[in-house]
Amino acid sequence: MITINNITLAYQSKTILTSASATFTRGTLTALVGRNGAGKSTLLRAAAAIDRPQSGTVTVEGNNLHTLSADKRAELISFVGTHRVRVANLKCRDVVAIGRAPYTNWLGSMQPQDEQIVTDALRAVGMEHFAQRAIDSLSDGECQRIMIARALAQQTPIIMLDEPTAFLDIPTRFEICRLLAELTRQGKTIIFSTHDIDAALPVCDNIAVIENHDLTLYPAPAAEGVLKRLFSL
Amino acid sequence: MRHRTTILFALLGVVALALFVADIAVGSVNISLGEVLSALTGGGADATVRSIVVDIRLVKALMALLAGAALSLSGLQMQTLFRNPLAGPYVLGVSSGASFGVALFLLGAPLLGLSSNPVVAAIGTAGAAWIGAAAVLVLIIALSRRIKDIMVILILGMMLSSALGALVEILQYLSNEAALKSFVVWTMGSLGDVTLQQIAFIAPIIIVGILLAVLTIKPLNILLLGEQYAVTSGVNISRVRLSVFLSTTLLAGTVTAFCGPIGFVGIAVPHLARMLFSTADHRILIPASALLGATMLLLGDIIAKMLLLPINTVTALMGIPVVVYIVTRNRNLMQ
Repeated sequence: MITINNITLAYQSKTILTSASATFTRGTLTALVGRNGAGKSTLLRAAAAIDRPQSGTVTVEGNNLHTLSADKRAELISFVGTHRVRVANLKCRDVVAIGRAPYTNWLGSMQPQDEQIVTDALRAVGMEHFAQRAIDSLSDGECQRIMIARALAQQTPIIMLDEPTAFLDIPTRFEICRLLAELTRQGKTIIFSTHDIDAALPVCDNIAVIENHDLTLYPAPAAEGVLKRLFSL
Repeated sequence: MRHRTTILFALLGVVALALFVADIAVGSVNISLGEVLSALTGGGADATVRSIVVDIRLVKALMALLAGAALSLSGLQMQTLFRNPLAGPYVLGVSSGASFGVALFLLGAPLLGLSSNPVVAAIGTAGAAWIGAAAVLVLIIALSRRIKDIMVILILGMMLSSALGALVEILQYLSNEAALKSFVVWTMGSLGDVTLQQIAFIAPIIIVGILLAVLTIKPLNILLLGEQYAVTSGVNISRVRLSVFLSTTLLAGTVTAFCGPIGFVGIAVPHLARMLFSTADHRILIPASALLGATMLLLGDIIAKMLLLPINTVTALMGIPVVVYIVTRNRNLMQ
């Protein structure tokens, strides 16, 4: 369970959120929506402790994230960003293996148990046959699956994803959303920002809406009306 | 795969060793390989031959070995930290800082009538270069503590380089012909201006720089994905930046102080290592870049001696095709 308590956020001089609070319970899938510039990425970055909020706290199972060490935080939250990783000579298996970083020694040496976790993560996203392929030879959708596998290999109870369906074609957007829903059934708490209401709404448990510097959590079935108003559908 | 890596390391080791011996054997005075080995092992070679082999050629070959490894390792760290294939050891202004230090010593001191001052004279060209490089590092570290975006640090480093370059040009413009010539000769780079005593001073500094690079292997591997992923994977970014900047100054700053700015080795060699070993893993790239860098600079020194060219010219001609290949091969940089 992750809780945002009275958080105030700003991006440069622009206020994003004022004293916003929300609780995301274990094993739920939440889509974070809002107009462009509403602050979805800023909120996710603060909730993942990449950036500090102006005020307020983020707690995971009662632990204040910003007072934990970077190592401890990495055992609680994994993050998938919008940036597409395109590194020459970097194999998909090695990308997923980076997910084991919080648990390996100073050189990042993998134990047989770590290797098994990497294999399982690749299988969970249906990418086991891509293990030896270079990451820069993959399509955007395949690359996104590898980055999700990396988050799975990190074995954190919470996964946050910033626009995981951006730049993907329509069938792949639905596939990624279904994959995230499957992972929540295994006990993961997943929060992802998106503009893909059509793909997200059928699979999400909750919709978190950022509007007028406030954050409101709606059960997915009840969110349709709010989304229609928000996006003037 | 592991088998291939082991074979490549063994082959590179043999080539580096052969080039090391060849670098000692080649020179303006003809000395046979037998005499070279005899002089190196303390055998029956005469005093002049021993002096040429040990005091001049061995020192130069050792410097090529250390400088090649040092520049390549700092280039590798810079390319990973800035996630920029064209970053090199001098991207933060280390070389410009060193050049400015040397320009102040060779050009500025005579202008101010301080050439004969015992304190200024004691600093020497190498000391002035090292102080200049270290001053740039201190400035960059101070800035990086306040700046979150690594690209901003890269741009500030480049601007600092340009600003120092402009100041050097002013000093050059105001200087007399003799001082100007000394400075221009320094910028051409030379592996032959060091002594065995200086090698004994340089080697431990470079070893510390290499150790710092080795200690950042794991965070460098994570940084391949970008700083956002590194932070959420448990990497302390400020500490890694500090370690990489310090390592780069110890490695590139020291080499530049004693040999002048040697270009292209630091940019080209990490790419050659990636291509040869088909990997982005720093557990392989760090030893591979060090070994390949040493090999490249030993080869460059042999060519420079045979064609009587400055080392910087040779490394540029060897490195430029690699950089051109990288730019044209990189899909992100082409149409």
